[in-house]
Amino acid sequence: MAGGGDVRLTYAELHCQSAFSFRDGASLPEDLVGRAAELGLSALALTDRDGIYGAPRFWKAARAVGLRPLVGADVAVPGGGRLLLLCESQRGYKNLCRLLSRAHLENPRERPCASWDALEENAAGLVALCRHPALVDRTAALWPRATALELSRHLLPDEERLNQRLLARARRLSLPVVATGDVRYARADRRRLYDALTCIRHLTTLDEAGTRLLPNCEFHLPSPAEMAARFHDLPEAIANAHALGERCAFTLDDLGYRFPPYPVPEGRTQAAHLRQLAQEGARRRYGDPLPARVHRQLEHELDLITRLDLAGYFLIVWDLVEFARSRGILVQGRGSAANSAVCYALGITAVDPIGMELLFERFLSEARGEWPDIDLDLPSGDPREEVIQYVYRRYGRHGAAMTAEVITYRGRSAVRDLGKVLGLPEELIDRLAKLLSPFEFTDDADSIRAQLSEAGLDASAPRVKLLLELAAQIEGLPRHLSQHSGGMVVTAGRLDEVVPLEAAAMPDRVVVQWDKDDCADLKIVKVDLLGLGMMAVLADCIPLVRTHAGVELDLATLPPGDPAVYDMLQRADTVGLFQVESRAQMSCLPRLKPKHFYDIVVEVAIIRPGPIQGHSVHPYLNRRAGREPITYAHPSLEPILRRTLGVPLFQEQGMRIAMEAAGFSAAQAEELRRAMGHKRSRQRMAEIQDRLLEGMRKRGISEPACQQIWQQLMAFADYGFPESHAASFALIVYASAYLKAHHPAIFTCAMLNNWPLGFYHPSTLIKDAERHGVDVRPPDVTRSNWLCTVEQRALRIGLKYVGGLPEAAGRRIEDERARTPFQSLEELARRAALRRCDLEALAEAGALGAFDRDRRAALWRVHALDGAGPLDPPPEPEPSPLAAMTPDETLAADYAVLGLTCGPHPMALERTALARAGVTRACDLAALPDRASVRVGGVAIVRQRPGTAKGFCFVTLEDETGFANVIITPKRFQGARSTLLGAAVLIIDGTLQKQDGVISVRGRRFAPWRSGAGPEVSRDFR
Amino acid sequence: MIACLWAPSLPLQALLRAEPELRGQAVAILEQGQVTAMTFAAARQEVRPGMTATAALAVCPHLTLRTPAREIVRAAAAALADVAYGFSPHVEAAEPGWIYFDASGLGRLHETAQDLQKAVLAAAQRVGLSVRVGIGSGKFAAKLRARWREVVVGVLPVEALEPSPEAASRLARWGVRKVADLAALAPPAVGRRLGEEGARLARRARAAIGGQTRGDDPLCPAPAPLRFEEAIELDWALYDVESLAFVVRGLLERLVARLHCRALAASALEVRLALDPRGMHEIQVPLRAPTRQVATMTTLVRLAVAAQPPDRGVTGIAIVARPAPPATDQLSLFDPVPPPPETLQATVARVEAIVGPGHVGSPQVLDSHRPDAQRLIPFAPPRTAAATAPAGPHKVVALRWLPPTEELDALAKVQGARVTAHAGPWRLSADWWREPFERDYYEVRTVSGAIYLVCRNLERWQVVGMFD
Repeated sequence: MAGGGDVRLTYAELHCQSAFSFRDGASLPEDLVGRAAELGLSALALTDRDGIYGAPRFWKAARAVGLRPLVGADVAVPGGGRLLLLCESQRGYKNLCRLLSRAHLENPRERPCASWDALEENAAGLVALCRHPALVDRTAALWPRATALELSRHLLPDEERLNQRLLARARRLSLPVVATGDVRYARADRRRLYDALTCIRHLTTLDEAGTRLLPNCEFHLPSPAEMAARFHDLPEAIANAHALGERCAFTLDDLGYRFPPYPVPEGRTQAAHLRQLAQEGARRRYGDPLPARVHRQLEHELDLITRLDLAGYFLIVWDLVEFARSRGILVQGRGSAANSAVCYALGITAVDPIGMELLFERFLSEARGEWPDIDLDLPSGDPREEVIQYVYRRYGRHGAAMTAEVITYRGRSAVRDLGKVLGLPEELIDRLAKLLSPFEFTDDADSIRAQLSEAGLDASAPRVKLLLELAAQIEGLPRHLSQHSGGMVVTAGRLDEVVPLEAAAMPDRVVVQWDKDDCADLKIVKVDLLGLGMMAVLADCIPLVRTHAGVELDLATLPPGDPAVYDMLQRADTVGLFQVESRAQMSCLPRLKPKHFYDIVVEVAIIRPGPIQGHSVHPYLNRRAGREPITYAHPSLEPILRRTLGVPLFQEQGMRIAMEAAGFSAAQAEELRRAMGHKRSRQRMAEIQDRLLEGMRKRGISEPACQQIWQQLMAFADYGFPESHAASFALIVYASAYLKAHHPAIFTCAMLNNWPLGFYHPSTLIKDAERHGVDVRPPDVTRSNWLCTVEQRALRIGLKYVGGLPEAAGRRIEDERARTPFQSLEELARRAALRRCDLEALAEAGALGAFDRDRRAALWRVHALDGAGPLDPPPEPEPSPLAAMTPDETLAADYAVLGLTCGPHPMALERTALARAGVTRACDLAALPDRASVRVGGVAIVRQRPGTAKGFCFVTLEDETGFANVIITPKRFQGARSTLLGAAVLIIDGTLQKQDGVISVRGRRFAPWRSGAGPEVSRDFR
Repeated sequence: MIACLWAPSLPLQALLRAEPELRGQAVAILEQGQVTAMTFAAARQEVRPGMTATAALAVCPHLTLRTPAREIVRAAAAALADVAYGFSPHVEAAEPGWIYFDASGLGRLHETAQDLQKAVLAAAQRVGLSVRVGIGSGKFAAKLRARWREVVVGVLPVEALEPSPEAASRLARWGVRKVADLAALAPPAVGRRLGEEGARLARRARAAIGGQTRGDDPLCPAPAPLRFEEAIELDWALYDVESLAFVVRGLLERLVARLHCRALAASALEVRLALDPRGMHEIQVPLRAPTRQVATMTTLVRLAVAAQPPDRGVTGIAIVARPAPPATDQLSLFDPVPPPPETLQATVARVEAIVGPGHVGSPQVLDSHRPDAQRLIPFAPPRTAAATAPAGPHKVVALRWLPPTEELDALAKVQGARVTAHAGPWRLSADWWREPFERDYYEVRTVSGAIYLVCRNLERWQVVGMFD
């Protein structure tokens, strides 16, 4: 270290906390880096509390501006003190990771602390900065040649007194002193937010926080000149900071991460083993001998995989897939992996990339220099957990972990936390938080000021103004760390030397401190084991089809081109189907009229923000219907866009256009794709724009065509869907449609057993099944299992839908009945050990119908069981004096207890009154002429205001015959907001619209329907 | 003979009683996020019980939504009891809003039941409440009359029989909705299913249908409480005495009305001021003699508050009156008429306001970065615990705080001080969300060796203190 003396305006900041110190820092790493670059710091260390959560983002941002990003952490030690540790080398980094992992895993959550033993064992390669006099001796003993005493100056007398004590100790022990800014935010204007975060951390208000807040706003990132002025009497402290910054040369450029090797037969390399498996698989898929095209593609991919030394990665993913298959767990790769013939041959994906001409470079390219991304879809629930536990077993607790998910402050959480900090009344905070618009789309009327005014608040009141100011600042700052739903990282050796680990909230789960994007940026291999509800549905359907239809179903070999499937899709009869059941998809299907599998791929991809905002939807549909000629901006684009009729719909097409039209390399095209998918991609896209336009001009493409192509590409900035991903999803769409078309009872049964999933409430699924000829039977203790079952071709509702009945009780009923059928209500109660409330719920749900036909009579008997002791004889049968339930009462009981009804639809019971009111049934709309004035009515099952719909609101009304889709303009929506949002059953007057077989109503007048016993609350997903 | 007083929607009535200016406006009570009661003006605009605040505001944009403080509801309930105690010493306060009293023997004062009803209604109106009165042979009969007036009992909902929530839930599940439905069921059969309560309800239903009130609950009178308190929460903080006095007057009027019901007067007042955002400021206002003079009491409270002003805005006021029989002074035939005791007291209080007795107290250092953050609290004798020696080896340095007008130049001029050394600046900035405070402090040593704390605020130097 420098001995001091020479004061130069070079300074490295070694103590800087970002918002990843969780409520002890008020700036994001990117902001700190930006500010450090502005100030001309020679290096910046990110030293968050007890972790390196923000290190990858910090490293990435620093690399972009040419700042040296140092790695460190502010670590809690026993006794309440803290030590600042900086990584000098890779060894030090590994030790820091192990140290932090131990600090977290050996202590209760939220209270990490590194023991002195752990510090001693992992001291190598680290530099310690100490600012607690009580810790100086021990720290100096652990790091005899790497301890410095930290001096900070924020114009505070107490701090200066501490500095003087530390200086005295430093002189006595011959230790160097280092100046730091002890930074908590990038700029002074973040002090207010930092104080608010301090209050959140201490669960107090600004008025009560007192001296727990920092005394001034000097804790910002200081400039070298500022530090030189503050330490004018101690120039060596500044020089030492700079020297230490130089000495701590480690950055995240090289983590020392290695992917775990896959064990292969002796004498064979991983690449050779992969080649053999791929070729065997390919022969199974494509036949033997392999077609030349397939052979060529396989060889191309295998060569690249070998060159990039990725064979092990493919083998490990293959191993996971094989494990899942061996356990009978459905598994399918999604994402860009579907572009790979090797993945297809290995059985990782189910889409033939050669047949579909998918772009392999989207998945893997030599120039990209990053790991490929293979996501596996698994049935959600236990099967997925089984695969996760297999990964832990296979790679050890220290070799595998889940990736984290950083939960950030968003509207409601921000308002709630900040409202408390400002001491606003609970009721007010509640009102404000609840008022935040639940929709994707927000217009002026939804703005925060309008919402405040609606809540009876004055937006100009000082505290409310502060709330708004702080809420804007806190938006996007990390709030806490959570566990990602399926991302897992694995390593050769110890993962806790690559990234700190900590315990997740779920037992037996360990989570890394970085999210999946961070892992990808640092080239840590991750496998996403994603739970997909529809996969669970398909998995459940297979044995049911085998049992009830005698058909052995294999999803990989479903009959292609099944007319019933395409007929169903063309009619938009898609309630419950994967991906194509939304309101928007339903309105597109009759216009797109899918006839082939590729049409489903298009359908999956076209109703997305990218194509919608890129104005690709209407041109594609018009060209498909022959209303518009198929043209190309340039002839060179024809091969790329031929299949989508000249309209770009997929990310791969964007890449190919860039390669063909502008002469981009694969790497440049990949850069473009990343810009297209990135959250802040507009700026990055603009950077590439010049290069792209220049390339196109060079190839002789006219200026208007250049602009047209650019506009189409820009549209993807919001969200372009990869073709391979769409193809993987399309397979599941096809499978779910096939099952619904041929086995509707089984499909609905599996849907109900795996609910919640998809768009629709079980009651809608049931009514849809009934319209498809399924006999839906109510729960019955003498027949129903816990889950829904199929009886012949009928569907029996399971006891799980009886509200309030615990699963254990339902399972006992199932088990006891399997031994001997129940002869009486008393016997049921005794053998299944049911509580009175269980019996009441069963009686009200009509599940005791086998003993008493009427629900009230069953209830009368259930209540008579109350007084009887275990040794008492069964009470004498006593006829019920109660009146039987009316149909309305039965319906109300169904919705109250089951949340659905197997009886008539609520609107059927109202039909006479509805008809008198001039309400047209949904099924009769098709017979009316376009532009006819109509009145429709039904249960509001969907209410949406998508972000891409410019404020339009879409409502779907369900009656006993089907659905009526209503479109509401922003103005009318605002005028009838409370009716539209509050009423469960709506009556809507409007004008009928019929276009390409799509029937909808443009709503004009809206009223609630107040009668009957239907659902009390709407079932839509607002 | 039992009389029953029922104040429907007591929280709403309590609010309107506390804030009479809301009468006639669209007002609704919000409890646990839902509307529970509303004024006629609000009901006319489709505000209904059970609505959320958002829904209610959507149908009635000018609706005043309030959750009344517990204190004002308690005061309204106490006022209701005071009305009853004005008629009989045997009073039972049942659930909030319901009061029973023994009306036997009142025939000498009120000839008919209607006369008694009118008198009770008038008394309730004086304390600011609107009530329904039922008179019957038993508590339940009186209650049914108060609640349902003159209707056919059989068509009443079973809730009129006051089942427990559990029993009510079971009856609803049976489809038993009216008293007549329950009367049709055999009490023993109902008893087997709903226990003792079920049998009682069935019997009560049959009795009600038959016009009798057998098995009615006995009256359980309680001694008359002697606590008179009225309170109000303010929408925004009040900072000046005159505004406070305006609110205090309303509270005192309500207190006096209640005392009047009970033929009592106030012998002392305790004023509690809730401060913004938290804290309480209490002021005792002794009265020379029991009085019901609202104007005098208002003056005394105003002066007491002026003498001991709260250090922050006032967000709520509560006044407790100590009751006593009204003073009955015997005037002398020959001496001049003395001023009334309350007038004399008001005069004394005015004098105290000038000399400022409220300036006496103990300073309390507040938890703040502001070096001058302190407040005056009422003086209390020091505790007698043994003095503890200062912990640790640190030397304690005392800072003598100087009057805020001492400027550095003045100091230099007067004392010939010249700064020989300094430390600082020490920068403090606090309270940015209310009264921003930003100062740079320096510790300076003068040629005389004295060390001063000086501060710079907007280019103005000031001597803040001197270290001993």
